[in-house]
Amino acid sequence: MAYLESLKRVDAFCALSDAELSVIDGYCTRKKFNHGHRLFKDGASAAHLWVVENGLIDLRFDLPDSETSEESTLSSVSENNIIGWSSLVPPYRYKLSAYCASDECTVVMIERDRLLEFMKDNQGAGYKVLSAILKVVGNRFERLCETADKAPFSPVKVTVHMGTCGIAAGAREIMKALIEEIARSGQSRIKVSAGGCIGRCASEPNVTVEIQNEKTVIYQKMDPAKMIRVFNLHLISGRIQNDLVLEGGR
Amino acid sequence: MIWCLKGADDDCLDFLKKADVFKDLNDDRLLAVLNCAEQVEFEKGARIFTHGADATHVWILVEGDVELRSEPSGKDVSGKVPSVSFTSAAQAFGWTCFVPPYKHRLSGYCASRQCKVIKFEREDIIRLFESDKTTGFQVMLYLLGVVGRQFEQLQDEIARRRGIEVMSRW
Repeated sequence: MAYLESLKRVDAFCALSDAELSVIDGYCTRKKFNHGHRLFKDGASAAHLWVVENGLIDLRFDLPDSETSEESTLSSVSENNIIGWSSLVPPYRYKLSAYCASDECTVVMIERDRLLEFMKDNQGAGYKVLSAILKVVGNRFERLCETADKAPFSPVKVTVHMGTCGIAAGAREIMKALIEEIARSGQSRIKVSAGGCIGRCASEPNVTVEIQNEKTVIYQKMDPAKMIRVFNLHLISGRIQNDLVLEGGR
Repeated sequence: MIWCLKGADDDCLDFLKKADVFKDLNDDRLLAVLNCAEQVEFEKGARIFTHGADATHVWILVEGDVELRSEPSGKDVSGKVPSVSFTSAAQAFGWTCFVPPYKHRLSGYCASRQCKVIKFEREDIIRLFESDKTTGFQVMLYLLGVVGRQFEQLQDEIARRRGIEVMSRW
């Protein structure tokens, strides 16, 4: 039962019973990837459904005869989410390439053939899984529609709210810490901007994090140390820091 | 023009079987599906569903072509260039009625001389799926494939434009 807890945290499987999950557990293997490594390539046979346990995965289209880059990222997927859902439907080929975008990623790979077989033999469970996956994919479809309207490509955006109240509470120091951390890491895909007061003066300094295809998160009562933590754990590794969240956490 | 398919006969079952989504269901299951179904026809250019409107029905295309367009304002953008527009390769629409917040993500227009569709009210079809998981499983598997095809078309469209953006910076 090495994967039971991980499966329970994923929307696609959380409605299943422990007995059903324990069967799927038998189809799983865990794998680690380092930053920049490719998990799968678009067009390749989709033999697995993937669960992101830790880290951030970029889904990218590969341009012919050129190296992958963050600019070709269409969406980023963080922990407890699935990727590779095209493994469940004909023609069973990945539609995009997946790359580890954080320092390290841990994923659980579920064998497609055995999962499909299980769902066909247990159509009640199959119905629950597919209904949940349809919701997940539907939400991604909506976000993809939204990105179609956005011209400049900027998958991660951080806004430090620098109204008078924010500055008085230390927003300048947070901005400085953030810019230094970005320069140190060389993460060009993170765009920083200064925003105004959001009307939550009591919780200043506030910082808003928008990751493409993810829920917007507003952090409260920030300081430089907390900003560096959010940078490393949320912006780079995809883990929302719930204890600092004002709005948008889980 | 709308006429009801309720009150099944062989012609109605044959009509239903024209849709890929139902072709593997046996006659008993088709009859149950038929009890929730309504057939609708549209002329070229007619809007079938509207971006942003409540998604209360699933639509299965039996004949014709449907163009999907992004119209965030909810207004027909014919004559203008919408940010997203493609003729759907898939034969089902309105699957967002199963996905919160249950709104259409795109508008759908009849793009051929005529479109024949079967529509199902969400509550009826969910009730059917809950009572017959085999039908539910098969239809959901089909719908996931539909979303996959529409997803792929949308990705291709965005990737094409993003590719042009990236290449224009070289």
